[in-house]
Parts: sequence; C-alpha cells; structure tokens
Amino acid sequence: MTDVSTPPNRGSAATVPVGTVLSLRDIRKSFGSLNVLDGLNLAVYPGEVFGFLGRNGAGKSTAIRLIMGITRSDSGQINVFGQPLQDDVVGIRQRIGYVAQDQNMYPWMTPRVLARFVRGFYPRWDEQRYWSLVNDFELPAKRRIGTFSGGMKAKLALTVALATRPELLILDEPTAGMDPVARREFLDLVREQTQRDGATTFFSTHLIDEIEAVAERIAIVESGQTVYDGALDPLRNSVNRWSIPMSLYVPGALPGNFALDSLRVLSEGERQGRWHMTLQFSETTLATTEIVLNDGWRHDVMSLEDVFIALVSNA
Amino acid sequence: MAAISLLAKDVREHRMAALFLLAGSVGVVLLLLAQNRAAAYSMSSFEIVRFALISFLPLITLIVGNRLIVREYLSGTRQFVEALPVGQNLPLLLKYATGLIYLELVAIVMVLLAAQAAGFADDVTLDYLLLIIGKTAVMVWLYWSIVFCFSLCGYLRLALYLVTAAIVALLAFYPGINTDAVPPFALMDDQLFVFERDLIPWFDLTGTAVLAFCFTAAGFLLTRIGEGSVVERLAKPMTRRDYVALGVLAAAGLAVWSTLLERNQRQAIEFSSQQVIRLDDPFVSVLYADETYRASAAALAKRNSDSLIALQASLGLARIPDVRLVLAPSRDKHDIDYATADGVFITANWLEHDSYDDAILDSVILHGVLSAQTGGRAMFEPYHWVLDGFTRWWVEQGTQPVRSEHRNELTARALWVLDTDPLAVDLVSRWQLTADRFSYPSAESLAWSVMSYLEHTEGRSAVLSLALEFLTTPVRPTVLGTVTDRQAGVAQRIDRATGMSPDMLFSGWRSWLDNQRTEAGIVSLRDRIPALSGSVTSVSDESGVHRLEASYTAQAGIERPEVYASGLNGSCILKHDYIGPFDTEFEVADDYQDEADCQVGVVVHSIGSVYSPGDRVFIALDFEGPDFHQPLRLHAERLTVR
Repeated sequence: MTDVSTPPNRGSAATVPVGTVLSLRDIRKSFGSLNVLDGLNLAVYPGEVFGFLGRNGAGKSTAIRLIMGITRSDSGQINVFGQPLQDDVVGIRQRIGYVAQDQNMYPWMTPRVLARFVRGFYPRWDEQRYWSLVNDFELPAKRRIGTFSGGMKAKLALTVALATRPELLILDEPTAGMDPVARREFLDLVREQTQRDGATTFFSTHLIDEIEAVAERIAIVESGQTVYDGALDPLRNSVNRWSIPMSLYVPGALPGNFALDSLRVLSEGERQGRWHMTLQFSETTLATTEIVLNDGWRHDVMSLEDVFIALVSNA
Repeated sequence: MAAISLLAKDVREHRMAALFLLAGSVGVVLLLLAQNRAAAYSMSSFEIVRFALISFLPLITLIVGNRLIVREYLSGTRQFVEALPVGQNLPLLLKYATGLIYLELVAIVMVLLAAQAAGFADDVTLDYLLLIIGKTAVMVWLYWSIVFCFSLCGYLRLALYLVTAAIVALLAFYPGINTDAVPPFALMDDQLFVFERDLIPWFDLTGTAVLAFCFTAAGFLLTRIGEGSVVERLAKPMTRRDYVALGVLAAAGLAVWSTLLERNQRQAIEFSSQQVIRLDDPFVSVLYADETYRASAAALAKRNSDSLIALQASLGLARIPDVRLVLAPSRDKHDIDYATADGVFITANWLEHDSYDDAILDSVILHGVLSAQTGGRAMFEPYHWVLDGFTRWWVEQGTQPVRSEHRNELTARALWVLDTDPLAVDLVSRWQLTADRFSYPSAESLAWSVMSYLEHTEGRSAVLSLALEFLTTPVRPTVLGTVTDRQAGVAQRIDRATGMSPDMLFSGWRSWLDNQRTEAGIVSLRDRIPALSGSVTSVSDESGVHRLEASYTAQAGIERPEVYASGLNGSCILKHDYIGPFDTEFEVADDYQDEADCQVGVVVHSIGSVYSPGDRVFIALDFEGPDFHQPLRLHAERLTVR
C-alpha cells in the first residue's frame, strides 16, 4: 500500500486557529494504558454547525467531556470563547448549552421542577424561551420525566440547553436510541432552532446522514486523532474510488498519472473480479491537477458514508 | 445560586423521607422515654440516646446515605449535575453537609428529649448536657463519614458494610480484645457514655473524630482518583466474578470468626479444690477451704439446694443457674460479695450467722439466681421491689412458716420506713429512692411485707403468680418480642398476677401493716429505733482543708434530747464513699466510716476530707445496735463537694 507522510486536510498542531469559538490543539488523554485521544486537533468557528464524526469508541465522548471541563486532558490546549478552558470552567459552562448522549435528568422531576432547578446555574436563563420550546415540542409540563420516552427526554434536554441562550451548543450523539422518525424530527428541530438562534453548534455523531442533514463543516476522529477537518464537499471530492477488471490490472499501477506524494491510498483490493483502489487527494492537487484515467480504469461513485468508512478504516 | 439550587433540589427530593425519619426517631425515643418513666431512678434517660446511637441511628444514616448519594451515583443523575456550570466538588460537598446537618439535628433532638426526661430524676447540668451532645455529635459524624465513603463505592458498599459489621462485632464481642481504650468503642462505653459527667474524654472524642475525618477524606479522595473513573466503575453493577470473590471473602471471614470463637470459648468457673461440697440438679457447690468448716458448708449447700428445688417446682423453671459459694472466714458476717456473670458466685462468711443472718445470705443467693434467670431484667426498677420482696419472702416463709422474731424485725423496719417517708409506699416508681435513703435492708423489708400481705389476703399462689409475672422471663432476644412484651405495663402485670390494681394492693397493704404496729414484739423493736435525724455539711476550714461534718437532731416530742441520745444502745456511724460521675444505684460500703457515740446539738462526725471539689460523694448516717441485725439509716444524701 502506498501512503503519504502528511495527509491532506488533516488537523495539525502547527495550525493555530484564529477567531475560533472552540479549539483543541494536540489533545492527549489516556486512561491507564489506553490512549483515548492521541493528539486531537480541531477548530470550530462562530455561527457554524460543526459535525464531529467518528466511530463508536473513537474518542468523541471523551473529547466532549474535556471540552465541558468534566475531565482534564493529559496534555494539549483547549480554548473556548478565546480563553483557556481551565481558567474559568464554570463561567465557560454557563455559556455552553449541552445535550448529553444519555439523558440522566432526575426522573422524579417534571419539566416545571427541572426549570426551577436548572435556572439557578445559568445567569442567562430565558424562562420564556424555555416554556415556548416546551410548548413547541409538545412536552407535558406536569408529567414526571421518568415517564418520558427517549425522544421526549432528548427534546427536553435540547429545550434546557437552548433556554440557557448558549453561545455554543454541544450535542453529544443526542439521537442515540431514537427511532428513525423521532431522529428525523429531532434533527429538524436542531436545524430550525440553531438557525433561529445563530448559536455555534458542535454536533457529535457516528451517523453520516445526521452530519449531512445539519453540518456545514466536520471533523472526523479516529483512534483519538483527527483524520479530516474541513467542509463536506471538499471531503467528498477528495476521496475517489476507481476499479479495473483483474484481467487488465498490473500490480502497482495507479488509475491515473498521479504523483505519489500528492495522494494517499486509503484502500485497495480485489472484489467481484475487479481491482478497487480508493485514493485521497490534497485540496491543492485537486485544484491544480486534472485527473486523466489510464486505460481500463472506471470511476465508482462514493457516498459520504463510503468516504467516511474509507477514511476511518485507513486511519 | 448554584448551591441554593442544589440544596433546594435535595430538600425537595428528600423532604418527605427526612420528615418521616425525624418523626419516626422522635416517636421511638418518646415511646422509650415513656416506658422508662417508671424506672427513672434505675435507668438514665440518656441510656436511650446510647441505645439509639447503637441501634437505629446507624440505620437512619444508611437510609440518608442511600438516598442522598448512592441513588445519585447508581442512577447516573450525577452525570447530569457534573455537566452543569458548578464547581467539581460543590455538589458532593453540599450533599455531605446536608446529610451531616440533618443527622446531627435528629441526634440532638433525641438528646434534648432525653435530657428533659432525665431531669425528673437527675441533676442535668448544662455541662453534662453539652458533654452528651458532644459525644453524640462525634459518633453521628463517624457514622455519616463511613456511610458517605461507602456510598461512593457503588455496589461494593454492601460488601464493605458486611466487612465493617464483622470487624466491629469482632472488636466488640471477641473476648480476647479489650476495647475499653479504643475509640469509638470507649466513647460508647455502656457506663461512661451516659454517666460520665465530670471528665471530658478528649482521647476518645479525638480518636473518633480522627476516624470520621479519615473516612470523609477517603470518600472525597475516591471521587478524585482517575477523575472519578473509579467511582464510575464502582457504580456499575457487579459482575458474576465480583459476586464469587465476595462469596469467597465472606466464607473466609466466617471461617476465621468461628475459629477464633472456638479458641476463646469461655470455660465456666469450677472449683478445683478437694474441699468442695457439690450438689447436682440444681448445681450448688460450696468451697470451704478448711475441713473444720465442712459441716457448715454442707448444711448451707443442703439448705439452699432444697430451697432451689422447691422454687423450681413452684415456679416451673426449666433450669436454675449454677450457684457457687465460697467461705471466707476472715470477712465480716454481713460482708457478702456477689456476682452473676457466670451463674451465681458468692463469697461470704456464715460461720457466726444466726438464723436471721442466714436468711439474709439465702435471700442474696436467691436474688442472684432470679436475676441471672431473667438476664438482669429483674434488677430493673419497676421489677426490683418484686425481686427483693419475693426472695426474702421465699427464704422466710416459702417452704416453712416465718419465724416470729424475723417477722417482728422486718415489720418494725417496714413501719419505720413508712412513718419516716410516707411516699415510700409507692414501691414501683420510688424503689431506688427508698433504697438510697433507707438502705437496701429497709427497702427489702417493705417489699417483703407486701408479699406477706398478698399471702395473707390472696394466698401463697398470688405471691408465686407475681414472681412468675416479673421474675422468670428474660429480656426477649428480638425487637418484635420486646415490643410485644412491653405492651403490658407494670400495673397491668400486677393486676394480672394478683387480681388487684397497684393502688388497691398498696393501700390494702398499708392498712394491713398499720394494724400490726400495736403488736407487742413490734412495738418493742420500734421503740428501740432511734428517733434521730441527721444532716451533713461540706465545709472548708480556715486553711482551706475540706471537711465533712455531720450532726444529729432529735425528733419533736423527745424530752431532754441530749440525755436521750447518749442513752441509745448503739453507735452513730458516718459512712462515705466516692460515687464518681455515675448516678446509679449505690450501696455505701463500710470501708470508709467514722463511728461515734450518738449526740445531738453538736458536730458528731468531722473528718478531713479526701475528696476534691467537684467529686460526688455518697454520705450515709447509720445507727448500729444490738437490736437490729442490719443498720438503720437515719440520713443519706449524694453530695457534690464544692
């Protein structure tokens, strides 16, 4: 397999993002001998919906726990709203709306009691917005949260997060465990509300379609490292798959006349009588080089999911 | 604001349970205090606080810990709180403080209720009260710290509680370990916790507080190890492997425990000498030490064995505790040592006894037998008069008619007591006061005469019924059994046994006793009881040396008191002893005494005091003469040296 030393569009510690709402630089975190984050880098800019994509166990939730200041990184720098997180964890959290993966709200509380409890923590708490969202989401104000379905709990968590009038909204796989209808409904609400508030949104998920539905820019994390950080379209364009019948395949041959240092071979192998090759090009290469295929090679269409799988499998 | 929100949330979540627990605790304490009112002089109300501290307060602490901490960690709601904008330690710190304050409140309410009740029979000073509150507060802190620390250990806490309970049981009950000086056991000492009032047990308080601090620190440390990952792991359900490990641990613990018990099984005391009279069924053995005393020892063993056989048959007792007697010829004839830890063990000198002295010794033996039979319950105040009265009655007339000279002496003594203090007629609730003031022989004569009255009016079976009701049932081993048993109060028991209410019984007895005051033998003895009363003063002389002084005054109607006093056939004796901080029943010994001719109008006893300011001293002024076998107490008081 061929590889390049510096993959294209990979987040780099050397890049210091300016004007970010959130930036993580070379974050490392391990639990005992298990390295969960191994030099994670990413940057989130004001007003954008940022998708944080990764497989289960890739380190997404650990990264979010670090961003929330629940745990501390072993090394690296986290800046939120332009200041180091550790300088004022509580103050920063007051400006973040957070929807967790598991909704661990007190089951004995009702939405009414929950509001009474939570508003003491957020100086910017917007009671009117909370109740308007409760009504919009058709949540029963006097029913115990313990009796709510998973979707209702997620909606309530989003309601609480939005009622804090956050400057940064962090959603950690909020649709986990929801049925497709509830998931779609929830994503529509997220899109609608974030557009309305204009808050920067950090959306973590392992589902590609969710990212496609809401995100403008994404980071893909695998094995604790950023394997892609950028917009969706360039990602789609940068990764391509070609195939050639086995009878025509010459070992070591490439689909086109590419310079080896301008690409990364994400995968190659035989399937159904054809040799398949998936390549990732840097943005510069794509902008400056015209792809001319060698004889016998065919371009295969890739979905974003294919791109994602190719990237994380190779990471 | 965040702290207020967290507090308000906990209050809202747990208020009903908190109120229920507080009301339940207060209810139980009030119930116990009401039960104890009848025994105000034999059991301090503060013993109920100690009982609460070692029984239901740990349970309340467990419930509070479970609700405040365990529930938060096991249900995952902790993760909701930790994502809120609040300091990392604040939520747990608030929970710790909330639990501690609540538990201290419950405990202090209990102490104050007990203090209010204790005031009926005791001098509850502010210092004493603060000392009890201090001990209680430190113990509650320790309980809460342990529960707090273990509550953070998730499912493992159950195993930790079991191990802790096993360690506590081992330390508290294993005979090879002396916990008298080890906090918190020393702090919870059954005597010192309640009755210590002068000294602050700094070592025990500090030791217990250090333990509490260690558990608290361990709890908070646990939440910081691996940034809470340890606590998080512990909050997950135990695996099958965990259960197996715990099972092995429990089995190993049980094996060690049973081995230790086996190795330390106590052997009953047994005389190894050849000079012992042994009788079986019931077991009575007498050690006489010298062959010349063999006949006397054999007679004593036979007399008591016969008496116990008859008693066993009359009361239907399945078994009689073993009785062991030791002859100590060098002792005074009324100096009897008595222990009931392992059956009944008595040391006495009966070589110069007449029949009345024999009856005193026999009633002491029987007293021990019935006390051991009931596991000490018969010594409890509302029952004590029945124990003393019945034992003397059984010895005097249980198996043979009462001797007239015994009857006269006992009756004269009883009449003297009632004439001096008419309130002594209330045997049920004033027994300890009467025994304090007039000494046990006089109190016993009162109770004996009640039994005689009962025999006279209702027959022998009524006396046996009373004994069956009060003196044959030990304290029940279970809470339910105790509650059921306690449903019947003393009045109900008297009614059930005799068919009479206590008022009827005691008023009938009083009239019956009054009718005997004109009998010649009784009149003769009563005339020989000195018509004197005494008083004691605690003074310091010019050089600052403390002295105890006592004087006597003749009762009204005595002509030429000085002549009357000097003509009395006997001596006036001041007896005194240090009673320490313990305000329990006390019989002053003859070890410290000042004997003098009786006089009035002058200081008869003036002794250089060995006591220091703050010491509590029991002072008795007794009259001893040839007409009565045991002293007549003219005056008694508990005095605090100033």
